[in-house]
Order: sequence, then structure tokens, then C-alpha cells
Amino acid sequence: MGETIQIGKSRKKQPLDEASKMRRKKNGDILFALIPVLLMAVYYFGVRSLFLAAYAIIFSVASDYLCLRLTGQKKWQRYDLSSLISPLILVLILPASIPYWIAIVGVLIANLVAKYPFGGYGKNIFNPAAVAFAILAIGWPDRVFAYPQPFDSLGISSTVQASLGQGIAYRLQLGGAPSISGMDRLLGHFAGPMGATCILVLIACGIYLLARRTISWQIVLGTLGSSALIAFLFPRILVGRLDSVSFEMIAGILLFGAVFMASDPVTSPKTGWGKALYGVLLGTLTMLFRYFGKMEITFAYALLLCNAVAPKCDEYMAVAVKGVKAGCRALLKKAGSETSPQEVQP
Amino acid sequence: MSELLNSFASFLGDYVTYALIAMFLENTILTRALGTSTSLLIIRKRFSLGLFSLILTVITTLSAVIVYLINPLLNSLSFRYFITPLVFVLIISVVYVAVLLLTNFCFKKLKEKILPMVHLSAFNCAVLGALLLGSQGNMNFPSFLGFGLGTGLGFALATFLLSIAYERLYSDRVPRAFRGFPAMLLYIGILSLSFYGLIGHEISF
Amino acid sequence: MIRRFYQKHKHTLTLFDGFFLNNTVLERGLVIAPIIVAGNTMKNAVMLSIAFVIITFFTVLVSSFIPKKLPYTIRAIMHTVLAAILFIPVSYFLQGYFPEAVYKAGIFLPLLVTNSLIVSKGESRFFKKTRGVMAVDLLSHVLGFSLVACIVGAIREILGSGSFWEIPLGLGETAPMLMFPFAGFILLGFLAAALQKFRLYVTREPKALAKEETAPDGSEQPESAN
Repeated sequence: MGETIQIGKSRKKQPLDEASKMRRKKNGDILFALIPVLLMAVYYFGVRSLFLAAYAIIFSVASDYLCLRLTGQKKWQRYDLSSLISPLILVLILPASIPYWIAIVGVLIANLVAKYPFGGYGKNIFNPAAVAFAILAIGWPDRVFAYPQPFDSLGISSTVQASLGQGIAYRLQLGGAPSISGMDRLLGHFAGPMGATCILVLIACGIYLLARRTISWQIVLGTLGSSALIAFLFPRILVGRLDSVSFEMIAGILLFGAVFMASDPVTSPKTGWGKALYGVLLGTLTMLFRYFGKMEITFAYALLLCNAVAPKCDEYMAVAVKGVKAGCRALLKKAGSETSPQEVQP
Repeated sequence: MSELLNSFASFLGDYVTYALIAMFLENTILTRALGTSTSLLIIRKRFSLGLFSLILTVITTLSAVIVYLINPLLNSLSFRYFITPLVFVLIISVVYVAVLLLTNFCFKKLKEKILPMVHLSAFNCAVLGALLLGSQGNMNFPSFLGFGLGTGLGFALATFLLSIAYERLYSDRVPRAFRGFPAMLLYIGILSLSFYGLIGHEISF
Repeated sequence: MIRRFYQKHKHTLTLFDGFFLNNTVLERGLVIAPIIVAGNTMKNAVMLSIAFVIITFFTVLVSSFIPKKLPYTIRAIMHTVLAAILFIPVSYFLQGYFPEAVYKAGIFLPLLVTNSLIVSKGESRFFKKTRGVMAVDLLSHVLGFSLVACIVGAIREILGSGSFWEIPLGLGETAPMLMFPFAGFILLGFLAAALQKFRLYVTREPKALAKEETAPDGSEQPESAN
């Protein structure tokens, strides 16, 4: 339809290449998996969370459109859902009591700092939601790290009257164990970021996305496994190693991030081994700086650093795997040199 | 014997601690923005990063030793602030010439490769900045040495991180207005953000 | 229209290149450290600008008289030592006027002594010109730094701490993250992008203009590499 109107540049409707088709499918899946998380947030924190999400999405789509016009593109790639996903992710890792304007500023940061300057969706180096969260958390820590209790009535006005408390991550930082029963831990009945507390739902979403191969098990397993291992070996609280593991897992945005942010196909490595290294690096950095840093939520910052080194993860693991394979082959050859001495690979 | 071992252990402890501080908390590029143009220059010219950092470390460490010796004298002056740069510049000059002579006589084969790097790393914000920072806190000798090492390593780390994205940010994947330096600034900014968030360190000048 | 004006007066305007179009900070990325870390209030920015302008201008001007027969190392040392000597009166004067800002700027004021304009640009750019042209070029370069420093300082102070020249403006909300170095990088990145956009706009020759000027000499574009 638009072909005949444009004269200078022939802007044909290009058939989507394999990569963007793949991305489209994945984005659809992720958006679908985010909906139950949002519903849980609405259940726990009331309509306010829905309003937050709506505002964020409206501003994200508007600023996306503006940026597209500025960069000279006429319209979205078909079904590029990224302008819906990153505001949703951002809103879900903020507390439900956050003023609307902070969420909107965050969305604008995500688009204007992390996404479009690097070439728009598909070319961004850093996860937009992580950049936005990182900046907001440094700018307004007293609002970003103050969480309402579930089932408190928050209302829908911009400022919230309910009393706000600290999250688990903060308590762990002080070295005290929060007293939350096992079932409450799983159901998310404790103060925390809006969408990152409903552990069971997150696990279900994670399994769904893993089964659909939308997110890669190497990253999720690497991140969660390495951080669980560290939590088990060096517990910060004295009540027990397993409690330490379970609290570290549900603290902050670790689980949510591992499922929804870390395995974003654009900013993570491409090869299997690279993904594994990336996941381990991410988990280790997150835990390391939970122990030694001063910030309460370190996941977003660790993710940014890992995003930066993601291309090198592929490269180094390729070299390492090649080396190990060559070593194994040499060993095998040595063992069975009398049988097949001529098997030399170029 | 055990005393010697003890003092050696505390020496090593201070050395490593301050090396880590200089590498992460006071990273020349990512938290202080010092030597950013140098860093981009050596990426562009494809200098060997390891060699450059080694030279930078050597120059910083040698200067730090002299600064450590001269610091008590300097501290006793009331007009210390005004002449500090002059004194430090003179110290760096001495080290600079010494390193140049050393390369001339000892590493004749690598001379062609090393000399431009020595010129580049001598009068550099990173070196002077490390000396100025180091001389402010009352550090002991191993900390001073560690600070020199950490400055070089921190520079290497940051330059490595920048070099990963260099090609990409100067290619046509980035919009025309942001291509090259502006995108690089944003990239450094986000890295700096992540460093700041991980360490959570209040910057003090 | 701006483009037409620019291309008409290109030769005159390239003389003042360093001030805006090929800004020291935004295009060449040279003296960014003080702006990013210390330039987060207007007072700091003004103080740094004064120090930078005086130190750099006179150092490069005087060091252009250093004979080129001397080896490079000696010349480089002389430039920096000259700057360090000049730092003494400048910092003395500034401490009288802005005692607090000097304290806040910390190491970044002494660090101006080894800025790239003195250390490398003098050799690679300024000394190649005749002295009069050099003085104008140099002045526009150092003033270009001041321009950017003041813009960045003003933005960061107004939005970051809600005041200007330490007078509170009574803004409801502030964005304290602007005071951190990373925000300096990001802000400078956006300014640099805006300038790049503008430069692309004015230097792109429209077809009509290209036909009029039959043979523009190819060596016009100044090398941006240092």
C-alpha cells in the first residue's frame, strides 16, 4: 500500500528475516508470560499497579513512536512488541507505591538512553528496563526501595499514604533473617517489588518460557545455580544454609530478572556455552556485590555489566570449548593411538 | 622470622587492598573519567592493551614511590596546594625520561612499539590523577604501590570494556547523530552507572 | 537557512571552529573529565572554565615559542611544567574568589595542567599555524570548553539540586542522580549527539549549492582524529 507513495526510497514491504521472526515469536511469549505476573501484582497491591502499567505503556509507545520518526523510520516492524515489554518489566520491578511520574521518567530513560541511541530494538547493547531501573534506584533510593505490604490499600492517587517498609534484600544486608513462613515465601505474601514477589507464578512463567524455548535454560540455570551455590556456601544469615538459599533467591529481583531480563535474546550471548558463562557471571556478580556492595538490589547493575561483556562470552567460550575438545581429542588419540593414528583434524 | 612474615603479610594485604580500591572504586575511566581520550586513542590505533597498561603501571608506580618520599616534606608547607602539580609534573618528567632511557638501552627490539606508548602515558590525566588522589589520603608505602598497580589495571579493565563495543558503536547500526563519540559516551556512562551501583561508593574528590 | 549562511562563510567560520562546530569537548572528546565529574554546579563550571582558559591559552601561546629543534620529550616536559607554573597564580586567585568550589573540584583543578590541549594538541594542531591564526583558533577552543562546561553545569545544578548559583529555585522535585559522574557521561553524550546532528546538517551540501561552487578543495574538512 505504501509502496507507491514513497518516491525517493523504495520502501518495499520486506519479508521478515529469520532472526526477527524468531524475536517476534519470543516477544509474544514474554508478553503473554508477563500478564499473570501483572495480575498477581493487581491482586496484591490493587488497581494502582494496573494504572502504573498503563501509564508506562502509554508513554513508552508514544516516545517510541517519536523516536522512530526521528530516526527516519515510518512505522514499527510488524509485531515488534518491545515497546510494550520493557515498560511492563520496569514497572513490575518497582514497588507498587512508586509515584506515577517516576515510572514515566523511567520509561523515557529506557527508550531515550538505552534503546534508540544504540539503534533501536534489536541493536541495543543494554537491557532498557535494567538501565532505567538502575538510574531510578540511584536517583530516588528512598522511593524505589520502600515497599508496601501486600493487601494494603494504596489508592490510585499519585502519592501513597500507606506505610512503607523494607524488602528482604535490605534485611539480609543487615544480617537479619526475615520471619516469613515457607508458604508465604512461595506465594509472595511479603513486601517487595510489585511483580517480583509472587515466586510460584514466576516459576510457572519460567517453566512455560523454558518449555517454549523462548528463554534459554543455560542463562536461567547459570544465574540461579551460581547464586544459590554462593548463598549455600557463604550464608549471610545464621538460621541455616537452606533458609539462606531460599531468602537469597526471593530477595530483590533475582528470580524475576533471571526469567524476564537476563535472557532477553538481543542483549545476551548467542551460543550455548556463551550463555552458560554469561549466566554464571551474572549470578556471581549479583551475589558478590550483595555481600560487598552498598546497594540493596544489585541484579540490574550486574546485568548491565554482563550485557557489556556478552559478545566476549561467546568468543571466549568458543575458544575454551575448542581447546578442551582439542585436549580431549589429543588424550583420546594418545590412549588409542595404536588403532587409528591418522585421525588428524585440520 | 614470624615478625618478618607478619609484616610481609600486612604489606601484601595493604598492597592488594589498595590495588582493588584503585581498580574498582577509583577506576580512572569509569568513576573519574580520567584518560578517556587516551583510552579511545589506543583502541583506535590498536595498541597492545597489555603493554600499554604495563607501561602506565610502571610509570605510575615509579612516580608514586617518589611522591611517597616527598609527600611529608610537601605536607609541611602551607602553600602545598598551589605547588603540588608543579612538583608532581617534575616527578613524572623524571620518571618519563628514566623510562625512555631504559627503553632505549634495554628493549631495543621493542623500541618502535614501546616509544609512542611511553609518550602517550607519561603526561596523562590518569597518572597525575592517581598521584593526586594517592597523596591526599595518608597512605603507607604498600598502599601507595598498590594504588599505582590498581590504576594501571583499572585502566586496562575499562579499556577492555570499551573496546568490546567500539566497532559496533562506530558502525552504521547506530543512528547517524549518535554514531561514534556520542554513543561511546552513553556506553561509558552506562558502564559507569553499573560500576557505581555495584560498589555503591560515594565519590569523594 | 543556517546551512546556506554557514556554507557562504565557511572560510571565516572554520577559524572559530573549536568554539562550536568542532567543539573541543563534544566533537574531539578531549577535556571531558572535569566536566563530567566536577562540573555539576554552575559555580564549579565557571571556576573550572576560568582556570582552563587562562592556563591553556597562555601555556600554548608561550610554548609556541619553544624551538622545535629540541627533542619531543623535552618540549612536552616544558609545556607541562609551564602549565604547572601558571597554575600557581591561577589557583591562588581562584581560591580567593571561589574557596568552596576549589575545594569541591578537588583533584580536577590541578589536573587541568595535563589536559590534552596542552600535551598533544599543541604539537599536532596549533603550532602548525601562523601565530595570529593560532591565537584565534586556540581562543575559540578554550572558550568552547567553557561553553560546554557552563551548559552542563547549569543543567545539572538546576535539575539535580534545584538551584542556580547556589540560590534555591524552589522546584518541587529534583533528580539527584544528575550529580553523579555517570549522568555527566550521558548528558555529554546527548549534547554531543545534538552537535553531531547539527554539524551533519550544515556541512551537507545541497545540490544547488554544490553546483555553484564548482571546485571546493577537498582538504577543507579538518581531521577530527587527534
